[in-house]
Amino acid sequence: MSSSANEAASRASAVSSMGQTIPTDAEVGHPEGVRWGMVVDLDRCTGCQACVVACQAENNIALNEEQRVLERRAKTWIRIERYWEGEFPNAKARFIPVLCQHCGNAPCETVCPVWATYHNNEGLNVQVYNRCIGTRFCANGCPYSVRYFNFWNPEWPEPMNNQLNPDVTVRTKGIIEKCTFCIQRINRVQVTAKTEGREIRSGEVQPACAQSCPTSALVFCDLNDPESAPAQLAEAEAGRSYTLLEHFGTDPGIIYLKKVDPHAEILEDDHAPAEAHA
Amino acid sequence: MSGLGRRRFLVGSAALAGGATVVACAAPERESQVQSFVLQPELSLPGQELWFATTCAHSSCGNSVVVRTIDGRAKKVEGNPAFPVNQGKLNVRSQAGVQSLYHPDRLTVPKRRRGLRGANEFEDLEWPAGLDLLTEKMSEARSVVVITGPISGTRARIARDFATAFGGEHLVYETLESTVWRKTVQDGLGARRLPYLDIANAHSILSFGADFLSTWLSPTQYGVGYGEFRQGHGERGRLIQVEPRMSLTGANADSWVYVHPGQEGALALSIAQVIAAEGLAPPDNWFGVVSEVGGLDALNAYAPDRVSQRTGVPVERIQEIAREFASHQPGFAIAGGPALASTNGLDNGLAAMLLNHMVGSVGQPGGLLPNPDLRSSVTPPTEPTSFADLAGRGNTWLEGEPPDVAIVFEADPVYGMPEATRFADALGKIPFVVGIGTIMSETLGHSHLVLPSSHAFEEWGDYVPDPAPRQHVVGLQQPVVRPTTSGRSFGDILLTLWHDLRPNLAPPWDTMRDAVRANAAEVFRGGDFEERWVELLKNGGGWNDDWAPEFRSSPNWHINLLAEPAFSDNGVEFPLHVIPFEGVALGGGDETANPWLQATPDPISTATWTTWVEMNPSTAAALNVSRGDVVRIETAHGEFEAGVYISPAAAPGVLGVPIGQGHTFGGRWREDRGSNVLASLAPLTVAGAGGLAWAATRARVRPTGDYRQLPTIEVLPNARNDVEEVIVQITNE
Repeated sequence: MSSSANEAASRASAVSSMGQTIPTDAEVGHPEGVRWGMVVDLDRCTGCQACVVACQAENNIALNEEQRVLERRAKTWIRIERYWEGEFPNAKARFIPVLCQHCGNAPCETVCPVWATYHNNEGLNVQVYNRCIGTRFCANGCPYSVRYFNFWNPEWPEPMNNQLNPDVTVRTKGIIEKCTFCIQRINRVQVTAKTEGREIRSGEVQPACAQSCPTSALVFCDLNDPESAPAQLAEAEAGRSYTLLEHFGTDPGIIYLKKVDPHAEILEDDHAPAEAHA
Repeated sequence: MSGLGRRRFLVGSAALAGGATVVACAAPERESQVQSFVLQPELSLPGQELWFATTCAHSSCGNSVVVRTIDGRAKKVEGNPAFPVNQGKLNVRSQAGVQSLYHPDRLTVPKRRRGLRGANEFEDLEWPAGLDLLTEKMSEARSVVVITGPISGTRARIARDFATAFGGEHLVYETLESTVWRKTVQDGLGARRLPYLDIANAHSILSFGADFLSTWLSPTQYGVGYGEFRQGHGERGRLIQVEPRMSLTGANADSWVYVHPGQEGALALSIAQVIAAEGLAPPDNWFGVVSEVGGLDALNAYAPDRVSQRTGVPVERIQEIAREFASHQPGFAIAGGPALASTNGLDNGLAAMLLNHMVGSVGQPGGLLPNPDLRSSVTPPTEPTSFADLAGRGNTWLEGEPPDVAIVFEADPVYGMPEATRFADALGKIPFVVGIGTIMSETLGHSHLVLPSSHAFEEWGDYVPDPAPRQHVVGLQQPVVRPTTSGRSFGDILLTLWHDLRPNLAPPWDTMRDAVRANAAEVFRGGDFEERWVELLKNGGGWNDDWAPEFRSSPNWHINLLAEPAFSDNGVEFPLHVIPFEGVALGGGDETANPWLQATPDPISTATWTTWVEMNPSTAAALNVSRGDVVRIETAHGEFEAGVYISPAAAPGVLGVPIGQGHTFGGRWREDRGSNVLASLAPLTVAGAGGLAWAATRARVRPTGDYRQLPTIEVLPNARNDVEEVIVQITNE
């Protein structure tokens, strides 16, 4: 049995023994002690979209032609949501990058009938494309709307196919895809570190989004490593840190640091946008 | 086995037995070849990545990139971590370079126009035929004009010297040119090079319209500093943005302040007046400066209660801005965007610059710092030809004195110049126009001969980032893949012509590679050059600290010079202000053919793929239009259509319209999409600087009765955003 199937089996037995409760990452534990995550400092984020294009380039995401946008079927593994607060002349725009939260207690994982999505032992919410049968239960279950269904086979008119990243599978019609935290980059660094007989260095793994971010608003890290700079940042900025829709109990692997607003007129703990985005 | 020798057979067998791999060095299928694992071509190992440092574009945006290549194909563009400008980071447009490299609608062979100008009727030519035609026309020419985008380094030197050698001139076209900011820097700081903005160490930034986080000058460099400005040091930096239309930088500001178009200078002087009157900065800092530019009496004419109505900013708000800016020093004030694109734009800029002198941020850490002068061996970045100069050339050509030949490279003035200038007609007066580029554009469509150029990733070059990062920097560009088309480098085309037609005046280099190498040897002297050359290529260029001149202690200006802005109309027939803006992805429209960039949402509206008009709810209500309604925007100089986007940040009476769409040339993702706002602008200029006053056009709006769903990423509870209702309400009845 593969390690993922093993883990799925252990998770399944945990579910049955614990009744309604799904075990979190902390409860299951991580054999290798790693939980990949990200700290997103909204005070640094400018909404410039550099991460969005970096992700599309790295992960062979299909072209979002106009018709796809109009149909709400555009695929953006990471997107910048923009919320308005107030009216002119006191209108404020707020930006928040939203990607798969790699939840420790992911609603998408429990609903997949074929274990196409599962939680690996490094905290990643993994999508196995060749298991997926396209029920889209996971997309419906995800409160963050970060799972994207392939309604069509992607097309890159020649010679545009030359740009495709050979490390990343091109997804076909009928399956779900989503942010992988650039797992191909994680694997590459792990192999390199193993070959060189050493541990992975802090900051050595960089998903494409974090690498491109001009303001360093996105910082990838091992959330279980208390020595990592992002983990320390999240600790030091505890007053600003929160997770998205935390009341759902999904235990997200992405920690957001609130934007500082010296002229704030809303309650400090009010994250609710004036207009719903999605 | 006739015709197949034993050796060839063995190689073939080995390839099949070992699992043949198809290796094509960045080539389309016609160039693919079967290659064995045993005999690998140089720099091509299956699955092994190679990284090359180069630059992403021909312009002087300043970013250096590293390109990941596998089997000779470019896969991913990332920031060059060693390069001092972008420090490993990269903006949207630079990353999309790989997609323009492999664009299916790239020009692949030379073309000769058969039909009328702009009719898009061309016939393909072989390169020798194309070059022969150009050589013939050039040999008969008495004068030649070379029009390029803002190129830099050796390429710029060749363009300039080539034009001179052929009895002409080199004109540099930039869509929303930086001419006015450059003149502001010259008059306000006495500097020849653009200053370094020490954003990272600033505690406050007061920006009059400069969208430095999106498109202004060097946004990646500024973005790196901005992250530190916010959370990199003990005191979180404060950003105040003053502008008539909320830009991306405005959206990130702590205080966004609406000001009536063209009144930024009056507001800056009012802030200066509060600083002086309330003693918010040490008098030693500002008394002498204020005396030199007109004195306190002149400044007092701009007291908040006197300019509040004129600027649209309440008295208390002006005082708050002054206190916030002056009490969070070091910090600096800058001006850009619409502030400099009014007819009084230069004065607006110099008024903003006065604030820097008053708070003592000129030449100080956290303020504006001087960039080193260029060494004599380095060709300075080309300065854009001002709109007034370019329009003036057009008038001369229209009046019957055109040059005999025009060579246009990566510049699209036919698209970007307002139609009122009749620049397309002026270009049509030139007997022979040759356009060089990677993809068709409006200007290339008006050319007699179109030559495909190589992509930035396929050629040699160098560039001088402008603004520089407080260091003397020369970036290098090298081919990272084998050419995918028959395109040739612009520099190589000019050198070929030069050697053929004026051999006695031609430079000693035969190719761009030779030229770049020779110039690098001149700039980076000492030691073994071969070793140094390899090191320079690996690093993406060379840089070191160098001597920088000091700034002047006060602006070369007088407060009384600040004029009222002039507009295209008195506001009766055309009551609304049009504020065009460059988007973070599409910029001035030169990259619109790229589907990644078309699909990148505008950060403010989240719109993609089209032209929209940002409108305040009250303006929309007065016009009886709502989201998605198509309106016709009419100016005294043209009209265009756009879909309404209701924005809570838009000011009443101000229409924000993105630049970039409305092309008739450029391939499947660019043609016949949206509208070109630039064409309908009034041809007004910025006094004293000659730039296009692109924020000085007034308009009126007429609903067309059509509706088109806006392709936005945002989803609103209002069903008008969607074609169909998604939620059905069910009641007990």
